[in-house]
Amino acid sequence: MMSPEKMPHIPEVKTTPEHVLEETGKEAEVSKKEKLAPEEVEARVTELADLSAARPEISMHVRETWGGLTKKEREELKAKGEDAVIAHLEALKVDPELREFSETTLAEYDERIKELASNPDVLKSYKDRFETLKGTLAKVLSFEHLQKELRTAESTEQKLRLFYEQYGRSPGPIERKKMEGLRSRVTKLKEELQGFELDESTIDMLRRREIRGMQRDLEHYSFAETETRTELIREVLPDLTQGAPVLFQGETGSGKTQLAKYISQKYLGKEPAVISVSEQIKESQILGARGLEAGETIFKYSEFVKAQKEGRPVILDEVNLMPHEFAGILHDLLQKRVGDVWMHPTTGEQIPITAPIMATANLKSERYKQRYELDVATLRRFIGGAGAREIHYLDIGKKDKSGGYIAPETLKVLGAVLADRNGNIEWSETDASKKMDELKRFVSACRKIQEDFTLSIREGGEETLARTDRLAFRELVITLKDQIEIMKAWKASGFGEPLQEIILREFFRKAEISGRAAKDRENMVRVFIANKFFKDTKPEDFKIQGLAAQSLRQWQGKE
Amino acid sequence: MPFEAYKLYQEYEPDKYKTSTQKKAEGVLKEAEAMRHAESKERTAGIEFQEARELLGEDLIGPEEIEKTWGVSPEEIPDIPFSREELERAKEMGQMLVLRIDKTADGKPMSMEAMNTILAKRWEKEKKGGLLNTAEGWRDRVTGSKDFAEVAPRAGWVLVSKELLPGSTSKNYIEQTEVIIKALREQAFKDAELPDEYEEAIREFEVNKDRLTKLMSENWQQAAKELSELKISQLTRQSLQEGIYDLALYFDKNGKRLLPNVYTWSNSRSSDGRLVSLGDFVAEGVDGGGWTPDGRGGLLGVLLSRRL
Repeated sequence: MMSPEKMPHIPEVKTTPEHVLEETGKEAEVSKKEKLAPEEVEARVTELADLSAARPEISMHVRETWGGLTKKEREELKAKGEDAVIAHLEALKVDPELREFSETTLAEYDERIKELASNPDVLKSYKDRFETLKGTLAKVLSFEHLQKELRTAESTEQKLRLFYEQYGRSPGPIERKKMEGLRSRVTKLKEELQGFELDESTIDMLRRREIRGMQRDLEHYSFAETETRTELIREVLPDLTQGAPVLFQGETGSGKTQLAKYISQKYLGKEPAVISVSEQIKESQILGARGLEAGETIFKYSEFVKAQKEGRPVILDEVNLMPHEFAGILHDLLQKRVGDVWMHPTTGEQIPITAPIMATANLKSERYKQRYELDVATLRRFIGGAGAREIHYLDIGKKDKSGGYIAPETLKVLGAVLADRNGNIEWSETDASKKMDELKRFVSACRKIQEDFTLSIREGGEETLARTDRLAFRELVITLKDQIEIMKAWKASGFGEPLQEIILREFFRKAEISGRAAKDRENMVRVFIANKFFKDTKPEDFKIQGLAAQSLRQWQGKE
Repeated sequence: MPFEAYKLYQEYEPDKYKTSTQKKAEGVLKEAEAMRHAESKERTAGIEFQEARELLGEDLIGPEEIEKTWGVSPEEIPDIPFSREELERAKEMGQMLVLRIDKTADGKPMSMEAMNTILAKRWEKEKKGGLLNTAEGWRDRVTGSKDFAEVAPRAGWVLVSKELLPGSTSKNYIEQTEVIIKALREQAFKDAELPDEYEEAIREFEVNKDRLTKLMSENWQQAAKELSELKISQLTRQSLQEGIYDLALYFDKNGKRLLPNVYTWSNSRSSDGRLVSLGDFVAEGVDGGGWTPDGRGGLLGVLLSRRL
């Protein structure tokens, strides 16, 4: 049990109702004490808690519709007169209707909060509940702190091991002692975490904070760090911090580039330069070119070189398309580490290396493999760095007890998209199981499509697929990003629309593609039907060229 | 009452966070398990078992392996029904000695579903790949849901070949049975008398062989049924569940996948009446499917699995 003095200090802050009462205090009068039955107090406290939890979101909307102005700044602007307000809002191009909606909604929130909190019994009871929550939060923070400390200690240990490995020498007596100390710290932290006493409410808060953390990552980086991604990041990070290169290979839409960007921004703290490689890439895009500036000929460095000079990581997207003529430059750079100097081949400038190169490559089907595969020499340089790592769709290969596909990490990301800031999804108790079933069937269908797409890419030949219950997908797949977009639209509909309508609107009707992709889309329809969607949908609703009504009826079990 | 988003995936993370009460309960269970384990070890410490262990080494799959792989500590361990000479012969023939159990730790049948469930998570964590390729494929296309969830191996000690019997591929079910009989007479019981049960089973086969050969082309479903029920098939071939059980244990213990690119023909029938093969055990798991009894496959042979 953690002793109270070891618990982190949670500062004294005003509760939302106190804050609202204070803001409107001049007009608000605490009502004469209305006598309430205990259950009535409890009901009002619960309502107050719900309103207080939802208020920050609507308050943020208002702020956004004012271009980020705080309440104080908005009042200052209003004090300057109507013209100033109009000019400000016109510049923002915000729909006035939306702004008004947000503002009146916030006012209604405040009104109701004020009304409820003006009863002293309700306010006291609410504050008591808030104090309990603070106690739980202190526990949660302690637990998270231990986890963080453990990760840091493990990563330091790993980094040191790598350091000695790199220079091929063994640590001396003092270093050995230090490393031993680090190892015992890791053991001790693990024991502390194991012995940490958690109760239901602490676990509830830990899980909600996990969701919130994922929401923040999605907002800031368009990336959600799930367990497998965390594991991968932890594996490559020590090498990357020493400037070693990494290659992420994976199927289209598996999140390779986004992962590289995320590592760069969140873990290396630098904005990366993303270079899209193509077969047509020119030397000027890699090294730079001579140009004129104020009448003088100068050498203008490319984004690639500029990033190297500024110590920013470079992401070479689809590096496998890099023409062989640039292999020499690439190989030279891939061998550099932090502390080395790279000499620019044209200008001769000595550029110190401070950031790594990250590269991505699409896993190609057998048909294209020969043409687009990375040459061994380049591959070897990545393997000698932080590695050539494969990134697949989340949850690929995971199955439940009966062998059915499961997608825990995908569900976690989608849960974060569907939830509000407090980790709740606005599903009523009566609807929750139906909605959850809908969501799980959707995820299961997407998993099947991704599994079959992956297999199509790996094994190619239809004759291989024909022997199994798998479907061939050549070009199209439903990525995590697609799933997120569908979830956002579902949430925006207040979950009023059936999910299949959203899938139709946000996925099938958005792109009408002919040829092989149309076949892919047909196969997707089959997978969704197998997962109990589109039982009565008409062929024309899918907007798939050549989709035969008879085939659809057969899949729907009507013929 | 809003819905907590973490409930969407919480069931997949049972070990992520535990309350203090859960931790305590687990500690008590662990202690009880350790005590049971110690008792079980005592029970198997007989000389025969030790001898067998020394003789066969990694090719003995006994109670300890069962506990590690299936998490079951068998309450009663039967005596090994084979003599030292038989085990020496088995070793020469490249066989392993396996103790099969038919129940899981919670008393349910050790079905394919149960085996897959027990191993899926751990093997995934240990990057050992899967057991069934694929579980739903086996369930939907071969066994049907009921057999998948309910049929278990027959309990007891068995000697099982680790490789297909030489000359057993590219043969139909009846021709394969003849290969099995030859292996029994010329290898397993070389210089010894065949036990009565085997003599009887061989007699039954010989008497019905011609009729069954004809029946295979006229009514393969009936032929498959009768062939699967023959005493010789029951005595010397694995059932599908036994095959999966043996492959899983051997791999889990020794890190080697048997039947990596070939198949053995079991005595089980698929939901549509075919005789089931299993094998091609690779990282994705054990593959297989149904064959009509008159089929022949270049990769399809048979393992000798004897219970007596």
